Amino acid sequence: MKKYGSYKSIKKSMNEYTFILPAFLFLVIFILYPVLYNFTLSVKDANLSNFVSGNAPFTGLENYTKVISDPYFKQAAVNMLIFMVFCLSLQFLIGMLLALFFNMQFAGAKWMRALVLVGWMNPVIISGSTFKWLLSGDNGVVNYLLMKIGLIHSPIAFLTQPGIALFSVTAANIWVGVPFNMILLLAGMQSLPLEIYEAASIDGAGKIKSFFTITLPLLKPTISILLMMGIINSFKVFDLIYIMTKGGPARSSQILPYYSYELSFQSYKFGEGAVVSVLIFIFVMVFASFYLHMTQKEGD
Amino acid sequence: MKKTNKILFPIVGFAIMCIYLFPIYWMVISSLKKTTEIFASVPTFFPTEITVESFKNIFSKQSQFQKYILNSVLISSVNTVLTIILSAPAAYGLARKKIKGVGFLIIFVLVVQMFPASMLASPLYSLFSKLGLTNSYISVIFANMTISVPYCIAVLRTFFVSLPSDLAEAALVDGCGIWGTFLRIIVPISKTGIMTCAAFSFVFAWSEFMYSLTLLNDQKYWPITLGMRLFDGQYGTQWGELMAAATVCSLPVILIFLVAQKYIVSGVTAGSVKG
Repeated sequence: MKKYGSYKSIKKSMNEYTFILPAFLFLVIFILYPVLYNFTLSVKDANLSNFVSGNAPFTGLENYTKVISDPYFKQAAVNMLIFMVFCLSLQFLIGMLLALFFNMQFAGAKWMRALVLVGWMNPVIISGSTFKWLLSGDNGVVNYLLMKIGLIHSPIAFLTQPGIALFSVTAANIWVGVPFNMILLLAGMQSLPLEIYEAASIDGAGKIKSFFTITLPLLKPTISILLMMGIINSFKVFDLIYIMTKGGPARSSQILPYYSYELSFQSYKFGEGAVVSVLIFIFVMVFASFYLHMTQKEGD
Repeated sequence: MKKTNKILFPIVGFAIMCIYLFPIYWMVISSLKKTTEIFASVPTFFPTEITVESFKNIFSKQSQFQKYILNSVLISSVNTVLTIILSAPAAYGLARKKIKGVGFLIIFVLVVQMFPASMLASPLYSLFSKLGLTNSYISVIFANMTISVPYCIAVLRTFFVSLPSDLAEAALVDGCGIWGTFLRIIVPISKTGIMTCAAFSFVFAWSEFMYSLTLLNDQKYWPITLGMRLFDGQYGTQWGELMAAATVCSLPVILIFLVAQKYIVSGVTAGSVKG
């Protein structure tokens, strides 16, 4: 057996590689190469005429200084932070409340919570269009309801007023993300051992107390993973802003991914757009390493 | 559970669900209203007169809506098939752990699935321009696959790891070879995992917007997500038509969801890419 072993084992291990080779070739060409290409692009003066040919002149860190001193960059970064803080906290809070509620075994709990997921599954372009209609200044139903209950006296321009548009987009994104938070928290809750709760209730701990002393601490791994993923996913938000406000009015609802798109595909400053992509890449890598560290600890 | 809660909780649950799903309800009923009713100063919560006027308009001769739907079907289907062909064997290879650097490759897959489309859009545009492939189905299909391939590898790998290994070993002893074992034993018993991934790949591509926006200038390649924008014009929005288009675009997603609901929920927890 051993005589032919070496040839056979080489052939066998070659065979193993045929499984992964096509997929990894694809990932290298269409993801890794583009990511690295952003780095080269970010130090070149790439515009519409030389972008494709690739012979844009090397300009060092000029694009970086241009972007960092651009007031719109600062605005997009601040907006990004506001957007993230509100989305993460409210998606989590609402998701947690819904998870706690739907975790109780009442008739219909299962299909009701499953149906809520439809909001998350639906194309973001659709949800964005629908929210644009709900929040419309002229005939929007949200304005109508707010006026009806007497909270406001005249319609709010939810999507066309600077300072408000960003929060309208944020609200729509919270709506999209709530079911996702709920489902992951529910999965976490269902993996917790029931005996601890029984022991706690024998010890006289109430529902609220056992939530803070048992559920929350035991869910810590799920919660940290959820928050890391929330941060990473907020860099993926583009469609919603495009369809609802196009980053406006006066760029007031732009966040970093939209700003990068605007630089590259509206102003054709591909070099500066690449700078923003490089910055986003660094952010994502930092949070991805936290995320991987946590999932590894989880014993995935 | 107390007796009052037995009745109260389902009612509260149902109310929560209705409030949450209100935007989707509003989308559907707006698509069934007459234009005059849509622009009425007092909105009606149920159409006084149900009409398919808006649907007729979006499918009228001047509109290319049928074409956009066909494009979306084509792009999403080819994306799904290619994604499964690439990612199922790769996931199996990673699950077997017989190759060097397998840990690194797994982390690589997990990391690249986190990359946002906005980061890859302009380099991909440049890459496809060089190949002369912008304004083609293939460019947008490949771009879509940058989302679905890493996701499916990650989800299917955990699925394959959970399979009992003695089945595959028995097949190997019978002289099936690794590929024979994979195709004849592993794939048939992994139908649910593969179908979940196929459903997600299809929905990802069906919902995709940014790559199509940057790669497809030519209207004849537009998927439904791009084509819909035409009802949301510069000079005012045709809300009835836009909501009708939105309803049509949601239909396959909701259908897939209802059919594969159980698997979708497990797919969310296993892969979790969207936010």
